[in-house]
Amino acid sequence: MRLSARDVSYTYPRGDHQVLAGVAFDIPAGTSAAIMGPSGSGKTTLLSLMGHLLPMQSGVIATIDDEGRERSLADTASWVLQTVSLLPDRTAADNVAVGAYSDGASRAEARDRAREYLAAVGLAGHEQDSARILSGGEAQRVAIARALASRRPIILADEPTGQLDARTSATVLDAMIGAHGERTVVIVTHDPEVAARCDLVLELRDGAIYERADS
Amino acid sequence: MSRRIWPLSLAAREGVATARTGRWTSLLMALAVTWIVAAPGAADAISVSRLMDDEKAWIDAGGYVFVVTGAREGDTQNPIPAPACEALASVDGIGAAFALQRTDATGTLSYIPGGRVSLYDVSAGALDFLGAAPAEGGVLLATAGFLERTGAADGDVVTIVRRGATNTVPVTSDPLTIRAVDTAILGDEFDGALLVPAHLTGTADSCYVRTDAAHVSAVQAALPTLLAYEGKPAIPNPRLFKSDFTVDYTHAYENRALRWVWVPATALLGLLWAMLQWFRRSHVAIYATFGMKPGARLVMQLGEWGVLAGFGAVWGWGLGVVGALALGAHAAQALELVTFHGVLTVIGATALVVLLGLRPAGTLLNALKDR
Repeated sequence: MRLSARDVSYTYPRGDHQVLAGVAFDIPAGTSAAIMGPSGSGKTTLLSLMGHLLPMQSGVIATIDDEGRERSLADTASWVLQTVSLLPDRTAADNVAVGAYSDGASRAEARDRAREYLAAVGLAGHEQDSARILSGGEAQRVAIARALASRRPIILADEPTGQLDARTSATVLDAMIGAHGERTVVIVTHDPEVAARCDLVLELRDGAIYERADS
Repeated sequence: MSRRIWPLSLAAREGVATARTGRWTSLLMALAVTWIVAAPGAADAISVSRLMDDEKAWIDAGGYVFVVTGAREGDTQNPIPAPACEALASVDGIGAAFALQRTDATGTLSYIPGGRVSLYDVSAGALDFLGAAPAEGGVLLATAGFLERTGAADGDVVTIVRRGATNTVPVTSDPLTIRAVDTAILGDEFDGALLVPAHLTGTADSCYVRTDAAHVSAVQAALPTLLAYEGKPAIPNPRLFKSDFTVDYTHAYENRALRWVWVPATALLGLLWAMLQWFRRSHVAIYATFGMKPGARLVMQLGEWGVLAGFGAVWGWGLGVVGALALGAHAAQALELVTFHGVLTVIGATALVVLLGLRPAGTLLNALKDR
């Protein structure tokens, strides 16, 4: 699934500051891209426009499948938010299963996927832990496992490793980015090490793509 | 072939799982349902039972009794035809009736000389009217005051010595069986007196007629004609004086405020559920983000509600019935009204749960938008 942006500009209605000015990029199917930039550079605004959270003012952002058809992001993307969003009374496995159910998995299959992806983010053996007792980092990893369990072709992540140490962060990125071509991943991050793991780095500054680097 | 995501059975299971794992949230919600199901029905049952007790006391005191006398002409008062009075018991809407004739005689029990009491002759309908069983050889209807004074008891077989007001020869009756009766329904004047069933074939001073709430107006309207003496209508007087302060029990029952208490109870449950959903809106957002459509979401919420409301309703029904009984409600009213209010409250609240569930849900992305 390819993500394509052309001439995207955005100005918040209650201000004259143009957050994005003529942004354009192309993220090929099956690649990973990091969006970096200082605070206020428009990273989250760009992610919000990609997710249709903000109405487009000018320009186009499209999600295009392998046959060239435009697809709805709601049906093709999973999100990992900076803020942890788990069902607190359910187990880690139950939370991950919610992602699998969105792919039409049966209960047995969802259980298997939960075990598989919790192991992939370093949480093997924590399947029956209540989400309430997980640390912030563990909860973040469960949210990532849930996104992976949905097996959607696009993952949009906002600071997914913000609460993780370097070693765990590496494990999680391995799981999230996966093998080349497996899924399209867009990560908003401040962490150069995370960016280094991605196929593309989009550096936003003053509302424009300042630098595009291919790893 | 694409697989169906979030089938309704799965959504329902998620709802049940949410209720099962909800711990304090689920417990508090189930307890809220319990109390909200229990309290209105119990309160109404207690209220209705008290109303019924009051009405029964009023009826026992003669609330639906007419004392029918003949019309007054000058210094004299017309009598009423005793056979016509006795026959009223077969008229639709009249429970019992008997004719009463005052006598100027007094009587004593033959084994207790002295202590004379007033004697009243009554027609046979008095036994049915006062709930006294007949006995071979005849009965003597004695009031509590009489029995207390003389030491006689219900079932004693006695003879009475009857003396006229003038110096006539006392007459000793055949043996009669004493039947203790409560004459409060007839009025205080009979306390301490003896009512002697007699074959009244002519006229009597008055006729006591017992009816009920449904027939009281029709009976009152018919009595003047039914008991007319020589073409002159009789006068039915309610045994208990009615005033603006007299309670109309039928009206009081139908217009009691607690009859509709299930409405605010329903609204309160709906409000609690709405608050719960608001505090847990991120949960719904998670499911919406992962593809759960509004129909499946509604089924999931109904699954959770079904568990919590089911347990709460059963506990609440039991608590309501037991509580109402403990606080003096009648069993029939406790069962009927706790069930009535409980069922309506749960149905109404379920409708509100459905309405609330139809509202659009946010997604996790909205959380991003809120930042």
